[in-house]
Amino acid sequence: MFETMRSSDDRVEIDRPGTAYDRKAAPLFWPAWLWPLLAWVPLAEWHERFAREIPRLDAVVLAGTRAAPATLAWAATGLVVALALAEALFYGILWGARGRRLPVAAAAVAVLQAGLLELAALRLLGSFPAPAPAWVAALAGTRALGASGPLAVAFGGAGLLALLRVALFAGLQAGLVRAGWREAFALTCGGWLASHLAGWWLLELAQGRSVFR
Amino acid sequence: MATGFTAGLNRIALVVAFALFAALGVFWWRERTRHYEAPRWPDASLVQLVAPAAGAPAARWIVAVNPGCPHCVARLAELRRDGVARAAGAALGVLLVDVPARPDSLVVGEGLDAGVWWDSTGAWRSRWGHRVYGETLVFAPGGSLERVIAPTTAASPAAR
Repeated sequence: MFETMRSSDDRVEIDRPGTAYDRKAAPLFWPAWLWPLLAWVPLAEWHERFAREIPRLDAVVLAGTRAAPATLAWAATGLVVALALAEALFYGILWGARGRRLPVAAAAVAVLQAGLLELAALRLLGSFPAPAPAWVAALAGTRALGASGPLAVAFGGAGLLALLRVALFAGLQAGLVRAGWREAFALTCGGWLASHLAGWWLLELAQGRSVFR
Repeated sequence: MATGFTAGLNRIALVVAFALFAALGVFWWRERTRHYEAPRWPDASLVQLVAPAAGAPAARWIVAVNPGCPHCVARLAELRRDGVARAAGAALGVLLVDVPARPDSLVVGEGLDAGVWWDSTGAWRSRWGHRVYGETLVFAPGGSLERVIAPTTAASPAAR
């Protein structure tokens, strides 16, 4: 049978090779006391970045909203949390369809942690205005070269740091669901590719439909 | 724990997500492979709100403007201020797009050498396949489209 489960107090097994799931270990992949810190560090970084960058936005963009830049920085940080939860939920569904449970809150923290590499890429881009040297583009993606358009926006971040982010997030997922890293990496690469393809298509279709109208 | 029920729900969610992804891909592909008319200036379907200035150059830089889009208005103001169209030997004009009711020509100000036009039938979007507000369509004196300047690109006469 595909999924026959036997449960005891602290351990559940699914009758499929390699899918044993330890109820105690997996949700506490990190010690509980470390969770707020693991989420706080990247969020503080994102907020600091938004607070610095938003007041520098084009006056036309800022004129489209009545909110103060400080409020916008908090809203953008909240959006980062929402996106992390959405990404964690997406991978939770992928793993769930494969008969494994990915704890969404822990996965969202993993997304935020892996996102520190994206922050590093953004910091690098800030230090080298476009067109940046080739090694910057190799690390941070072709956006470093100043390319524009929907394809460049959707895939412009594809560099070594993005690959490392995918690999790191895959490793954290593999730990959370007790799966092999290769399986988690293949799944994460597929998810990354699909989400960026969808982003490219949506950007092309939405071109000219200004949100500031 | 992934119970049979939640695993089933996850599979349904996955199928729905895949169906949405595939539908988006098909829609995007249809849009991308659709054949659009090459824009020509002037087009019979466009309504002239302000006539071009007498003696204006035959080459035209036409900015696609939606009055509700502050970016387009800012882009038009930038082009007027910099005078790059004039420097390129062309007349600057405006095409008001995605405006269902006849607009007041004064929404874009006065003094545009190539006049102000209203795209009353949606030709810019549906027949020409253009979408980007604030883009500048550069027409040769004969009326054929030479190039399109993106709203974020510096408009330089040397780029012709």
